Amino acid sequence: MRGEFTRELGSLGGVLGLVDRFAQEHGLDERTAFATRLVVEELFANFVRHNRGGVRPVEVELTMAGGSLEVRLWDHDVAPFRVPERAPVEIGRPLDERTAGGLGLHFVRSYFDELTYGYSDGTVCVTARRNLWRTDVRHQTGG
Amino acid sequence: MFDIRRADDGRWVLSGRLDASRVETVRAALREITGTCQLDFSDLEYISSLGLGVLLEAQKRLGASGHGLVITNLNEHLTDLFRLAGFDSVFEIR
Repeated sequence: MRGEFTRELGSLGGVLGLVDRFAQEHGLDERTAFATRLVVEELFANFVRHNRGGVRPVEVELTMAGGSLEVRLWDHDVAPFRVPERAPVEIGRPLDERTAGGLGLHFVRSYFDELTYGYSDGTVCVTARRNLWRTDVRHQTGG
Repeated sequence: MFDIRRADDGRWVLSGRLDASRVETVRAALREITGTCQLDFSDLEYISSLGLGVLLEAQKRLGASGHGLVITNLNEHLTDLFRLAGFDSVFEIR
């Protein structure tokens, strides 16, 4: 299932609506549907907030294949953007030392099993994959 | 759909989906809170990282004066999310 969405956070209602339709069509359990909504939003929001240069719509695709659910997003005519290999979010820090920075990718890596990045001819493509047999959230303690 | 409103008993009730497009609405509402206050999540089905960031921002502001947000009635998905974010140690959750 595929959709195109204007590169703005206001498109998120439609983006999540696409996930809802996909979840209903494929009978996803609510835990998987929640995880997929969150991951798609986090990746879309990262494109909107951080990819430089894009004006064309962001494409979002959801597929089921071989016991996995795949989410793929394309952002066209943008500067190269790499999903940062950042250190785990330090969730144990006290309140005054906590920030929300990095939480989005922390969630993507916790709820989905693989995250890959590609860049070609001005297009960023990010793919996230979740094994459908999973029922848990991977809790990373970070350091 | 998303909504945030103040109930008659002083709770703030959030409902629907708090995605990134709703963050400024929430930020503006939370600015009205000046003391310890309950946020009732019983009708909130979803929140993403930017929404959590706004909650954290408010918690830090209130914490500076000895106050804080009390988060109540998280569903199981939001409970997992708060735990994953480490927010179960920076918010009082009931």
